[in-house]
Amino acid sequence: MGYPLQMKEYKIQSKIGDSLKVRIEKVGVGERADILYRIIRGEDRRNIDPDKVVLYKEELEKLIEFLKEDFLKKEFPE
Amino acid sequence: MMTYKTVPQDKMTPYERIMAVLAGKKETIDRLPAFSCITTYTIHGMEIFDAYWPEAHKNPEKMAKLGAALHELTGLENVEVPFELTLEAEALGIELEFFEGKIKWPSVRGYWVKKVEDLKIPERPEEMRERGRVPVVCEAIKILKKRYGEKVPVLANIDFPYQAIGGYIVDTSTWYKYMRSEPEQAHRFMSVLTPLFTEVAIAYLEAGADVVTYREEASSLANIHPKTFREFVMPYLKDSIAHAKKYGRVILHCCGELWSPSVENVSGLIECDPDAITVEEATPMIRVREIANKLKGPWYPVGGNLSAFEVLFKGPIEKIRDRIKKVIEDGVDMPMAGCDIWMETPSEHMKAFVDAVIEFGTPPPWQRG
Repeated sequence: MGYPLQMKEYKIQSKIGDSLKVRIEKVGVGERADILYRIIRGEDRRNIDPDKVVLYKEELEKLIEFLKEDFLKKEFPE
Repeated sequence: MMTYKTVPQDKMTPYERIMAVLAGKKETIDRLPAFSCITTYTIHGMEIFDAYWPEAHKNPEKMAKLGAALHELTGLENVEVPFELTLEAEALGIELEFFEGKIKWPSVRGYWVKKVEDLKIPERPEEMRERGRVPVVCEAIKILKKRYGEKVPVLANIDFPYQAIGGYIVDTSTWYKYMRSEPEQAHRFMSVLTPLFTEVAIAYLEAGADVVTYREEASSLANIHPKTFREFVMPYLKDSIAHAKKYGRVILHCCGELWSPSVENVSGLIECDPDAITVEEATPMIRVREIANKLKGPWYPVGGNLSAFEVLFKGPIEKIRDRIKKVIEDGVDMPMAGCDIWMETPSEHMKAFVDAVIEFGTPPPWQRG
């Protein structure tokens, strides 16, 4: 009974050397489970709060479209 | 000056609107409120605001974020904490299981209380303010008041002893046995615990809550005969509500069936004199309206009674719209889920609920020709 909740964190090597990680959260089970990616940057900052963004898997998949070469070449021609 | 609108045509803030309704001045409102005095969160809210149970039961910032989740995600016109009914029992020494790693209602680890003295009864009711998670809720209310004060109504809720004793303190069968065979024992529980629970309500109101919902969930016809209610619950509930109303507004909520053709307990709840009552779908809204009109008059606010599961959770959106239209026709002032909003309710359904209340509740029925 209850909704299973699993969380795991992974550190990512950032381009500029500050802290960067992704926390993956799975809420529920099976096909109806939500999978979320919480991207957290800057937990090592001295005074400013870290930046956080949370995206569902389905939303992240839409963002991946923006990484494709075809898209970048079309939208940002040199 | 009105600065916080849910939709551009609003002439009042959500705070002004609900406070006018609860003050018995509903003739002054621009439209019906899209409100829920029981719960204001879903799984989506936990996910987006990183405010999962059980942490959100214990961390004031997470509690505040989760209590505001449906306001932020769907425009629901109030915020509310806490999220469950075991908090007062815990403050009196009952151990709870919080189920780390799962999103699950806290539950009592064991039933061992036989008499009220078995509990950790404070010497003075004020000590309840420092017990258990009461300070966490007060801190969450302060955070919510700072963020939403005078714009969106800040609600808190308490359990009431009659339901808490049977549910979380003494097991249900023993509690009913006391009422049947040892009434002095039942009255002893109620008379000792009522001032302590009342103190929690007052603490929430003093921390900044505009309204406290009393969740007396066990006063339906399935649980108690109205005559028994009048003996074991009403005197204590009435006294507690009268005390709390010196500090803010009080809504009384009861799930379950409160009306049948031969017997009803809607009158009993209204006679406890809260500022409004709210009911679930098992109680016909049209009967609640009739009884409220008779006892208090047409300006007395009543709320409910959409099925949290069959309508708001399952949808579809057309059904949600249809039921809201009907309940408004039946005389509701605060259309809302009749019980805890199902945790898996899709945000689109709650948004559709808010939109439909605004659509069908503008202008309010009494302003229509």
